[in-house]
Amino acid sequence: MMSPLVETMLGATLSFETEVTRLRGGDMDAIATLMQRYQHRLYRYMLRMVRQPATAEDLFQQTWIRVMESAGSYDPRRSFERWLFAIAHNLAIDHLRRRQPESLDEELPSGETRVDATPSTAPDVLAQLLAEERSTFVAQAVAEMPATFREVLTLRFEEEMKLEEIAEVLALPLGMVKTRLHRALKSLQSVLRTKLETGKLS
Amino acid sequence: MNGFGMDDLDMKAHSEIRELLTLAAAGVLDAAEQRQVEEHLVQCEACRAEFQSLGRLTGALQKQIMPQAPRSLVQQTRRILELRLQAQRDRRRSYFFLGALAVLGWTFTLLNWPLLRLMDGPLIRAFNLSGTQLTWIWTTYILAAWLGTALAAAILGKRFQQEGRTL
Ligand SMILES: [Zn+2]
Repeated sequence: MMSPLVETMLGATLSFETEVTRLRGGDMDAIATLMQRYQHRLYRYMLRMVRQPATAEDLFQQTWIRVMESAGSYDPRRSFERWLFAIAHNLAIDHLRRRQPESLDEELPSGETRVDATPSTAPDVLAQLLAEERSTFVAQAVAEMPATFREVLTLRFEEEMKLEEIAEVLALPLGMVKTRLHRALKSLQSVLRTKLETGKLS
Repeated sequence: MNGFGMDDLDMKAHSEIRELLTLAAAGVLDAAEQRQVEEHLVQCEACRAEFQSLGRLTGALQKQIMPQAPRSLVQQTRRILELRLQAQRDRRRSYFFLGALAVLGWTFTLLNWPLLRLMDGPLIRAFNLSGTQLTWIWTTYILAAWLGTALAAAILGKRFQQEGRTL
């Protein structure tokens, strides 16, 4: 006897697989179901990437158009999620390249080397702020970072993807994803500290 | 240097652990790397503090307010997809129709062949042509008719596509 929970989960997995199979046949209901399932995650990813709600909506729609057009070439043995986010990634990067080429740079703020050289053990004001759950200023600082950093941070901490999954979405070797994640976190930490020191934190 | 009296060996381990420390805070290390970090943290206060600071940062990143997709976004997108799908189907139907029209035209010209041959005798007598010359004339006529049909179909197809109209 299966527990109702297991049955529900099994049912959900089965119907998901059917949707992906029907997707290959260009079935509109299948695409709509997948769209419903991924709407918030995909929209959030786009918003983190392009920062403008209207542009995020536009790229959301373009992503599904691309999904519909290339559904025939989708291999059902691959993870649909990674395939979807890889499409979204390509569209977002194309858009950013067209609109603001400088935002793709991975330039590190000058404070980075100093922070990286020797860890500070002085009473950490930043730690206190973070402990107070004032995460709005973290979101603010992330929004000001280069797109490649914003992307790796949202994929890891909001989409909760593993390194291997991120590597597949970004089509990058694992080592580069590791380095990028490391640099993004160090950069964020240093940006927050600099803001704190100069009193620019709102 | 930093007030903790670390010797050279410690400093080396220290710099090697740098990237691992961030990745540990991000929760993406494998078991061996995780153990390496933990072993270093036991003996290095500086890294311990850094690890804690990074942990708070990643914690804050996970706790960010999640923006939701606008309510109408899925419906809007679905409508766009349906329109595109419909246009695609219409285009395919138009091409099929034009293709069928062209084949019909070609078959019709081909069926004319025996009729044309019936006119061989009078024409040879009237214009003093040889049989081979006449065969060439008929073949050219049929080929020109075929080409004309194909051209008409292509032009029509192009116009339908531009106007986004269906047949
Ligand atoms: Zn250390």
